[in-house]
Amino acid sequence: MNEVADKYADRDVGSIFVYAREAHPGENYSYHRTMDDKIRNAQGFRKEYNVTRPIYLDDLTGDCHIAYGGRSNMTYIFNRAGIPLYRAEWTDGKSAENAVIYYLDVLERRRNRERLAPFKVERIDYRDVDKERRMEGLAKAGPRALAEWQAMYDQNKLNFKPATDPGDKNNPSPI
Amino acid sequence: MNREEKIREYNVTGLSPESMKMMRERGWVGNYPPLGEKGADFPLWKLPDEGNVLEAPTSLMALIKQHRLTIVKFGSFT
Repeated sequence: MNEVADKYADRDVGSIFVYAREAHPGENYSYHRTMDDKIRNAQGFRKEYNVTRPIYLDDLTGDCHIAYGGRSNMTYIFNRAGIPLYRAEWTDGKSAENAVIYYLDVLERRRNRERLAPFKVERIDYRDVDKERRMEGLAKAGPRALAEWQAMYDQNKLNFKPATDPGDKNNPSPI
Repeated sequence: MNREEKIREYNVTGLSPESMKMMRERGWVGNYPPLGEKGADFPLWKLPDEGNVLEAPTSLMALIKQHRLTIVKFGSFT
């Protein structure tokens, strides 16, 4: 997402990271009991992943995170009036960029005095499923995070398995 | 539920079917605000550089007002 943020910054598209709770706490990056815990983990995250977007901390009670859906890796796009236009239950750079391009075009059409009315759309987008990379990230949190995630994966409790074959009855893909 | 209890429950200590069930039962996951209507505002604290302390909070809407579009990602280290 750093790349998307950089690519559209000069078109007046801002990008922030709201740091919520640890979804997979482990020995190295544990769950938050205090704001100092949260600051320490977020600083580690910024350094480890070279996050260049501004990072903001939600309250320890997660009020902002919960009010916007509470999922561990969500993305919204807001207009300047504070209206959410796009919500993704999972963050994916290509999906977000696709939406940014669309809304920039809408703003341009409005500037050209086209008469436009909003309507709602629902759709399914697709994200990369790179289990090895995921495991590397969890290992940074600590062995416990890795073990808990693997246990949930083995029980099919996580929506993580790729749907690659549209004809596979056991693992269907809409397209 | 008081603040201390909410801090303890929201910052769940690990990933498990029980913790996911608890989050759903509390209504803390999957309750989205409607798109197309003004979003709720909350205080947010800018992450300080190492060695510095937290400054006074800004707010989500104060940040969003600064650009014609703003991408807001919610997440964590893990």
